[in-house]
Amino acid sequence: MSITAPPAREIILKQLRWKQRYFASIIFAFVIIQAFGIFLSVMNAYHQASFNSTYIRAHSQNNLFFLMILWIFISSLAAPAKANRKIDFTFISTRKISHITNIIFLLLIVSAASLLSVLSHYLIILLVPMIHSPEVFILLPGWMDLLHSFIWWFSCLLLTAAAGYFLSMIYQLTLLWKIVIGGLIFGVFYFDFMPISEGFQMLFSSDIYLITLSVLGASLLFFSSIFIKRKNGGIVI
Amino acid sequence: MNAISFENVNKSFHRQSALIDFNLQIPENTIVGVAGRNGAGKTTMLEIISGLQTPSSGRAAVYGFPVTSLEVQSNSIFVEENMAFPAHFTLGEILAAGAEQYTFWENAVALPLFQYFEFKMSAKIEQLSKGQKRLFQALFGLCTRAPLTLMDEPLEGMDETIRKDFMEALLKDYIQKPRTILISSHHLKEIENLLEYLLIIENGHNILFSSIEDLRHSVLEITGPIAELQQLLTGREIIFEEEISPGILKAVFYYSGSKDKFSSFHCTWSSISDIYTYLVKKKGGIRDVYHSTSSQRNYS
Repeated sequence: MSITAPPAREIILKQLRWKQRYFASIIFAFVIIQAFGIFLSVMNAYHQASFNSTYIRAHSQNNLFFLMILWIFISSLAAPAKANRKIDFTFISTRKISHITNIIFLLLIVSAASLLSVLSHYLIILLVPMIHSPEVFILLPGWMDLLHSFIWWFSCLLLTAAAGYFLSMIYQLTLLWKIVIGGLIFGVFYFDFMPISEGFQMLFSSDIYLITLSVLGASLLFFSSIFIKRKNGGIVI
Repeated sequence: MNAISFENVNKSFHRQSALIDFNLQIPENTIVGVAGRNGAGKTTMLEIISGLQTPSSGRAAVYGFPVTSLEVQSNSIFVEENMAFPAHFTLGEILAAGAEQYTFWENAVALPLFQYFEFKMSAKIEQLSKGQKRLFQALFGLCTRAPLTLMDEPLEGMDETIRKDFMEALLKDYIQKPRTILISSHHLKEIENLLEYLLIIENGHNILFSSIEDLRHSVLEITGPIAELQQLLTGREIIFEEEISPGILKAVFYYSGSKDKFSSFHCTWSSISDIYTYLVKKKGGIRDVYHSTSSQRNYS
């Protein structure tokens, strides 16, 4: 029997197609989180005696930011988990193809999530005065604001996704790494999360600087993940 | 052409050797049975062929390609207990994904086969019983019609009628679409009629790789008085011997001539599963454990 080797591109496209369905839970979680984030932001705004557009922007950003970072981080941790990667090899894949498919998938959901987060944020700005104080004048964000917002969301989510993916791969290497990564994640989420949000805002004051740094950082983390491998390990890890 | 080739392959886990200086050449388009005791190295060997493990040293290749290459991965399937499917997919969706991915998959064969075994396409994999899950995995592997199909204990958990039906399906499918199939099983008696080759692994070593036809008339079991037999057996490669009653010896040895030469003794060709048992049986057997006179034992 002759053996055939389809081009890698064809396999990646096929894998992406079934991964969309397989990771439907990630997309479903995103929709729920967005709805919850909008709800929280609107409700929190209601409890404030007075507010203005700047306040709504910053506040809704914080609510959504926390949830979105958590969502993309958990999703990117799960994507290269051994159980999920074993499914890749039930179908046709290689180590590299499996990683490339996962990374493309993460890039797609990061892009979609960034766009939708910008729109959600816009929706919050519209909803809050409409529901609670129709008399308050709200200055709606312009195109440049939306673009800036998109770049900000995209950069933060991309970096978090890459970091999550990288940590997930390292985590699978040895027990020592499991303890270190587990402790790190627990520490960040248990003790104080907000400095990360503020850190992002402080660090990335310029859009160009922000996008360059996040794309370079994410590329480095994603490429490193592809080459992380157990000594004499197989296609999975 | 060889479908699989192992050259001095060693594999160890945490300093424990699973395969030791393992050499093997399996010709393409054959059904090979892989037998061995628990922990002998069967699964490790299959995992290396499938790319799930790589050798600690030595070279393993499939159709001349490295086991982790795209050429191998797109032409092989590994059916095992831990074979993973997307948990929230229906069986129908899993089969559709299989059909999309595997070049040689034929729905015209696959769908009636799954219907015959009464799988509901709307069910989910997690709703299946252990036996049904094993059957689904095995049938999925069969339906891929991958040029290299690896099955690790596919019959475990299946009831007897299902096992028979599955083996018949496997044979018919193989006749329709010849390919290289490796099946490891503890039910050697049940699968021996399927096999063209038998590989026996013991303590990480390949102790026997032979065609079934050659094997059927190569091992002789002979029973007779010890004194007469010992004289006859001098210089022969004895696989197993046991004094079955006082003064009466049963011996098993490699022999390639006519058995008429031993007509004065009770003499038969060993069955395939008996050859396997003789080759891997520990010296003395379990009887020695109970007949042991030592009363001073410790676990150190």
